[in-house]
Amino acid sequence: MIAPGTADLPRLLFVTGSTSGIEEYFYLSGVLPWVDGLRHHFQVEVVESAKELIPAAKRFTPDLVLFFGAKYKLLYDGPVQNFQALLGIPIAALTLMDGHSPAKQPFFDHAWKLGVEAVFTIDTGMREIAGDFADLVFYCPWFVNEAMCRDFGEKKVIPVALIGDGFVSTGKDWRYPWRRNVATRLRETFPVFSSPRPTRGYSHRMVGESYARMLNRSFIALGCGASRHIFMKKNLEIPASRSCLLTEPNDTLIHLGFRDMENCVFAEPDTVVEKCRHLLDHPDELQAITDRGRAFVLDQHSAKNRRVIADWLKLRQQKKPGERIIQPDVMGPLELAGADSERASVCLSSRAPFTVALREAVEAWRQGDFPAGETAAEAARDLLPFTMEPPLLLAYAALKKGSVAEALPPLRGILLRCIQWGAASPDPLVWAAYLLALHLAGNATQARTLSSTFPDVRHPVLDAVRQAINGAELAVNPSGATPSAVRPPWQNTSELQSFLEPLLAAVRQTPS
Amino acid sequence: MSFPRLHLSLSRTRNDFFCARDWPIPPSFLAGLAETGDVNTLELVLISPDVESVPETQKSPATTRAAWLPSDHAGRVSEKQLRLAAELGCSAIFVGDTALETMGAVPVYRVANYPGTLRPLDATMEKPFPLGLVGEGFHFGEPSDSDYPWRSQVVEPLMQTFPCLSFLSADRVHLQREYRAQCDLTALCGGVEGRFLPAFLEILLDGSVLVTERSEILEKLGFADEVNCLFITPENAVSKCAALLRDRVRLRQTQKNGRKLAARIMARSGAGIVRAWWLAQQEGRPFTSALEEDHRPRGVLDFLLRRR
Repeated sequence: MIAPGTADLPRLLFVTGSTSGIEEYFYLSGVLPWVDGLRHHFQVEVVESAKELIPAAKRFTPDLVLFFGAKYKLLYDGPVQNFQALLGIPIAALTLMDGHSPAKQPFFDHAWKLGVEAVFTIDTGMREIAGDFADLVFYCPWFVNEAMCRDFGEKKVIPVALIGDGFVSTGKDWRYPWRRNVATRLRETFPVFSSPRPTRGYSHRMVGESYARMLNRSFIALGCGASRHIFMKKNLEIPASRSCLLTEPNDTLIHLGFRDMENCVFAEPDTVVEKCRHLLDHPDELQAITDRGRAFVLDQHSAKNRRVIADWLKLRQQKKPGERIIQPDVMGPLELAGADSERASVCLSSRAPFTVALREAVEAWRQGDFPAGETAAEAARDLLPFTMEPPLLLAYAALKKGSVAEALPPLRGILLRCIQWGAASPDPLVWAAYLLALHLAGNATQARTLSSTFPDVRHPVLDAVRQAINGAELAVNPSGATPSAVRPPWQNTSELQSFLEPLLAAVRQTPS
Repeated sequence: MSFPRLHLSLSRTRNDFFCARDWPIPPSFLAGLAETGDVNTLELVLISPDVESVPETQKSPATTRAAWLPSDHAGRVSEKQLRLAAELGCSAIFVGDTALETMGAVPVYRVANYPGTLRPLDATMEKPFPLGLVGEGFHFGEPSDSDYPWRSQVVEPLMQTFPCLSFLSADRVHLQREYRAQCDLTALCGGVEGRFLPAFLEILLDGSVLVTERSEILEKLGFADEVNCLFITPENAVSKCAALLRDRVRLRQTQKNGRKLAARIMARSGAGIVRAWWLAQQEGRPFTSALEEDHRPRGVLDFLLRRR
């Protein structure tokens, strides 16, 4: 049944798959709002079961099919086929996954095989680390969940709230460097409420409305962009629940309209105590910032403001051959750019600690300074231990310096993690590096055997490795290269080929 | 049965020297001591931790004099308080420091209590916080606190698992009680010397479950694991707290049992202990307090010896 007033809206078949395995806190705060929010821009039909997809498409005749990926993989578990070719309509995907998730490669590989033309991500740093998929990525950040986060009129009893992961980190866990740096200072000074993310081990009840009410009881609550300076939904939940958002300043927040002492508070570890004390000592000022913050997010960051999927569909229908859709501004409209145009979509996380470390690693690698590259890649790995790019760079460095034994563990680690997160086939660059390392480590037979597996996975670098190992030319792949989800940004295929050439020459000279 | 009428020096001394102006003297304490009686025979002086000296004119009592030395918020009675009690010629000293050891001639009785009856805070106060870590020593990610090793050890597993209200400031003690009262569970221990803290009674009375380190003195006072409190170690902290928080019926019952225990402790070792001591004196019987009956002193030396 079509909801009143929506008859003119485009028709969206939203393939959520089964959401029954999702944790309650994430279902309430992360999944449910999307199902509702899309109805502002589309007539929506939801499909949970894979076998319902084709019948629903025939019955509903959608303008767009949108596959949904929650935190990790696409939840569609039906036959993998190119639905764009099958249905003749645009296919896209929406994912709530972090770009640093080890599920990234399985997700993109799956989406690509389903014929997805655009991937809408809440992760506002995904474009920088999506490898060959970067041009498919469009940012559709979190929006205010008004059903959950509002002013409940709770009495303010908590001076400072530290809710979420990272405030109680120890050891090598630096996913949230800012949170870790400010938390101790705040705890030593103010009464503080802290709540870790619920786990399967102890699933506490501070989720959904209870969580929002706790924010509503707090004068000040902390959010940030983690080590990649991405936009997190906490940055909306806090102001929407009428608490004052105190956060690390970063380019993403500024791009999205957040302003220090106007609608939120920016603080560095050195100033955080002083700023909190000032605000708690000046309740009128604190109240004014809190109220402006709430008005700002309700006005600028509601589900109605998130038009990007509908706008993309419109441009997709207008697009002429050779044109590209780009996103110059997350808050502004999408645009069409000519094939030769240098105009590109916006990148927001270039100054984030993880991105800086990764870029330094690639730059050092490019200049042949492998020790520096190794140090920078290790720094990136320590910030986000399960991310794939740093271990791939470390493996390259190990291969270059002849330490083949050092190259194999990080590559195996990437492959195993991808399998664990549902990969049906390996990333072409990782697979190429693994085969090369195996061969150089003296396992030529195993390398040759494995090189013939995953014949559909093709990439110029992988093809070159296979040829070197097998001593034979491979047939040209008619369907083109398999995109890599882990190719580090700022590193193109030809550079990689030049880098690997001496190693491939060594393989070619090895007697078979 | 008639009780001796106590000459309450408190009302007089509050305004001059024995008791600092800001030290709270609960009215119920005065009421408890001013039981019926006809002889003005006992003078009880209260010497709070911040009293500095006593005037010469007060040093020779005209009648029998006993002292009550309440502890500070950390459960400690100072050497200075003991010295002042001796200077005042007291025949007995009641101390709120359960770890105190003295070798003096004047008998010292350890009392796990305030000098009076505590009142619970507003019974309708909400408990939005599952767990409270309120007090010194709950420092996360830092080396073990030498005064409160148990607190240092449990803070990490607890904070990484439960929503917690933490307040580490030692200079706003009056706020600590309010915060603890808003928590279902409150973690607190008596420090390296295992003292009984005044806050233990506040926590129980205010309807929070005391989560603490098992100790002989607590068991002696009637604390029983999973009945009216939780005894935890760093190893079982998460599982025991999680189990209690999940079972709301058992949680409410434990909170209720805790309140009853607090009432029992206060009845046993409140003003009544002074009366009991005085009666024993009058009747020539030996007197032992609840903690002294078969319980060795547990001061620093004792603690170290037992650890060895």
